[in-house]
Amino acid sequence: MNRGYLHSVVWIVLVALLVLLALSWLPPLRVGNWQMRRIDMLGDLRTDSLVDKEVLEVLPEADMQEDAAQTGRILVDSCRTGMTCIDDMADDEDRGMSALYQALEGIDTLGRPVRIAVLGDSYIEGDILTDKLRQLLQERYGGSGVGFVPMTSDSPGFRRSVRQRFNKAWTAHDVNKLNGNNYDRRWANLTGHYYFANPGAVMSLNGVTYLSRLDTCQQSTFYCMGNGTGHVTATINGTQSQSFELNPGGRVQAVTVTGKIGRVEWRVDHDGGITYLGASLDDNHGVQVDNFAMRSAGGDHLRHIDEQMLVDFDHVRHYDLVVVMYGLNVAGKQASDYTKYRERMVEAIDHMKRNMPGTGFLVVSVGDREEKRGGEFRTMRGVISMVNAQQRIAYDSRVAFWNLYTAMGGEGSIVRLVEQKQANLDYTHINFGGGARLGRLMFEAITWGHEQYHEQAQKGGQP
Amino acid sequence: MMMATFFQSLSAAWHNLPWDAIASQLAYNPQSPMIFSSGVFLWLFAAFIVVYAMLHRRLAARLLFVTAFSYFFYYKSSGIYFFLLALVTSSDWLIAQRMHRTANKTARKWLVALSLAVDLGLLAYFKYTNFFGHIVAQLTGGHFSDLSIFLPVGISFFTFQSLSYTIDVYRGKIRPLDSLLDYAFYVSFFPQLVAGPIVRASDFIPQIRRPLHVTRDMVGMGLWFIICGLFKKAVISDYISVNFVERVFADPSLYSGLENLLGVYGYALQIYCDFSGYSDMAIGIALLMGFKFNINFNSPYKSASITEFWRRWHISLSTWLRDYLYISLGGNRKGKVRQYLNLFITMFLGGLWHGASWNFVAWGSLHGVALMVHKMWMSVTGQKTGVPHHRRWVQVLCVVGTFHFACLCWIFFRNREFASSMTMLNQIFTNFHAELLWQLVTGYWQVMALMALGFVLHFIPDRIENRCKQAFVRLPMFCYVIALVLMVIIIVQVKSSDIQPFIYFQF
Repeated sequence: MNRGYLHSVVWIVLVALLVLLALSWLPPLRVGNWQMRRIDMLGDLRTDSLVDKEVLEVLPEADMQEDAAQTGRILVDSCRTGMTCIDDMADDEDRGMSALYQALEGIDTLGRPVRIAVLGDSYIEGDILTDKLRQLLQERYGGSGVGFVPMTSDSPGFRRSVRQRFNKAWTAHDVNKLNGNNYDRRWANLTGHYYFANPGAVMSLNGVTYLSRLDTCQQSTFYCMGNGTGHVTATINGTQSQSFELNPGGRVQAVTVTGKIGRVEWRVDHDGGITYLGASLDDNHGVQVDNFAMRSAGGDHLRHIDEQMLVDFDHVRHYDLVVVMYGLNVAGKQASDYTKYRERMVEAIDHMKRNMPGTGFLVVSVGDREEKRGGEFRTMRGVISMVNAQQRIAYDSRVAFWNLYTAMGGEGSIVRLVEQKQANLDYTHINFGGGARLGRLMFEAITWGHEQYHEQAQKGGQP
Repeated sequence: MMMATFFQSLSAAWHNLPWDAIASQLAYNPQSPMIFSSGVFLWLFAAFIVVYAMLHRRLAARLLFVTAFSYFFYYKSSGIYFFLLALVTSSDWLIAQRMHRTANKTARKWLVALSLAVDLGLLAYFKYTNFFGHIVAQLTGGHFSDLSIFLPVGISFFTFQSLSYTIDVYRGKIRPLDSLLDYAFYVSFFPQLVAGPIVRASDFIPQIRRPLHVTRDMVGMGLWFIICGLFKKAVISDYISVNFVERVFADPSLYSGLENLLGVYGYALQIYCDFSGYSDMAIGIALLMGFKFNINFNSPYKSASITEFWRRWHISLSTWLRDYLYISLGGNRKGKVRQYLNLFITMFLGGLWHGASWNFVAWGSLHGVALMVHKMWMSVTGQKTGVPHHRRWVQVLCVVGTFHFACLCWIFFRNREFASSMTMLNQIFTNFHAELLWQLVTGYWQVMALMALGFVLHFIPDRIENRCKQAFVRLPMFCYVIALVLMVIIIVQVKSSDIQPFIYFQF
């Protein structure tokens, strides 16, 4: 029997394997900026990593630890095992978590909902993470409704927590748009957007059953500002209509309709130079969580919001807690001290603190973001630097800090979420599944902090 | 003395081998089923081919060895469920034996029905229980909780392959095999075991006991197929899916219509490269072992009609469905209306074969309707072949139209939720933003370049492709080694390349 060229197949395979093995021992080839990845034919058998292990733990700097111990705030030491607690670094001014906890303590007599604003970037776009946080807080403390919603959205179908419709009579101006947007800093505000409208501009919000407590609510408020005048009509559930004259007089104006609202439509009947912000679906008690996601934002645009604008908005929609969670668009691949960024963010938070009296602030760090190094997934060095910088921002601003990176599991956590289809394949952004998971972690951290506050208050001590 | 030292160092090296790591690589790992483009497979295949060549004169030992290796290959992908392979093999072998011995038509019918019941029963249980459970619950107003049923890898392929044998024996087209080992060899043959092509018993069985003879052309062609397959699967498909396509399909509403459209084009290329690339590797590996399979994909997007598309796409499945389902339903023998209905049923079930979910049914149904309409058109215009002969520009329009219809169907195939498919279409038709093209091309230039390369290679005329193939086959043997090594180097570079960051375009 003639076996033909079978022996050649054997030689081809064996020689190719030997050449590849030999290549494993060659130093990596570099051409210009491009470096050839190592051919590691025995990589699967190796138990140790080829990539140098860096120290990735994020540790509070000594002065911060010492300071926190002296002020007696909630420290990681008093945290439940396995939980990443909120580190409150507030000073006597109490601009960390206390404002929220105090409001929650008196929630039944407050006469308004306890409000939380979450300012962030694409990480929470579409109400990702905040939708779960809102649901859990409302289930625990009461309340309903999705909160504040800007007039339009680049991706209205993406958000699941509300069904939003709008027509083309709105002109959107977003702080993140790089060009062709004519964003005027005069109108810069907390939401990151402002709008002009032609008569006939319509935006409607429909409650949904995607998560509990979103199908109906008690009131809807329409927000606008500027020096012009106008006329707007609200239609509740497609039947009851109510009209309002708009005359903000250079301030922020809010007009509200009440009732059992499943659907509300706001229509601009007449516009005489008004600047519009958005509308809300709210309750008159319980907890309200507003999602202010802004693609590509780093957070330092907050420095430029006009002081009066902050004061006015705070007057019509006061927040007990503002969560500041940016950084993803700033953290690069390489480690850096982010000094400039830190300074700008401290300035932004101080700016808000000054003009939003009685509001607490919580800085939330970036989550895990990974890159391939030597063929292995590793947390980007820049992410670790950013987490440290954000902790420092919170400390320098004397507000609270929550380490999302640690809470979600630290190094490798985003890879695990991708494997469980809870994060996107850019190994950076979470999806709704991942958001629900992290939203629950944030809820647990907040409620744990509240329980500690409550216990201390019961004991009669200074919380 | 020197000899003793040599043996001592050899023994030390042997003891120093990471046996635990080797054992774990050889054990079943649900997270990493065995695929041809993995490093583990290259090692295993090297060891396999050495033993295979040593056994080239010993038929029985070789058959036994290949079968054992195939079972190990299946164990690596599906663990203990390799018993299903043994179950299907032994039951169909016994049924065919019995069928051959009886002349009674009714008994033969019952026997082939038994084979269908066993094979399709296993397929139904492992693949469709939850799907049908939900349907029944919906119809009866009850509640159904998903059962935790493992889906054994490749069960759709090997059950269909085995059925082709019992049905052919029933139809008297082939004689049953006397040896169970031969039959086990056929059903479990590892190159096509987990992802096709669905090799027909009538094509494969005559090759089993034929003297093992690998020609020089077979070596060249085998390596050509393997290298092309690796490039399609591990370079184009894997890269564009992770870095672009999967992201768009995960959240279509986050992307402009342009990105959605390119995502759909990308998916059309991805699924073709993934599926046909794997088939190419199977065909190539079989050739290196002295076995010839028929081609499974023939540049399907070159098709000028949907009928032609199904002659070029997953040929082993479409011909299987034609011969064993469409013809069994009556084919075109019972009048036009019945023929159209048979076509639709065939494609409906063909869609369901791809997965237990409504999106696959929708995909199959869309193709079924299109095939029906085209059949009617052929009947009206008197076309015979389904390949229209028009002027060049009409031909080009037909190809573009067919490609876009296939893309439309892929939207429903890929999105599990109907709403996501509608969101994609809505974005494409109402929120297109053509002005983003330049940003998109520069932002995702690696993905776009690979997609362009993939489509250019796909649309290369057959004669140029054949010339390249022949030129490759004629290369000296050492060039094969270089080509193989180069391909592995490219795959490693692509696999460990940086993740394309997420880009939000401004629109």
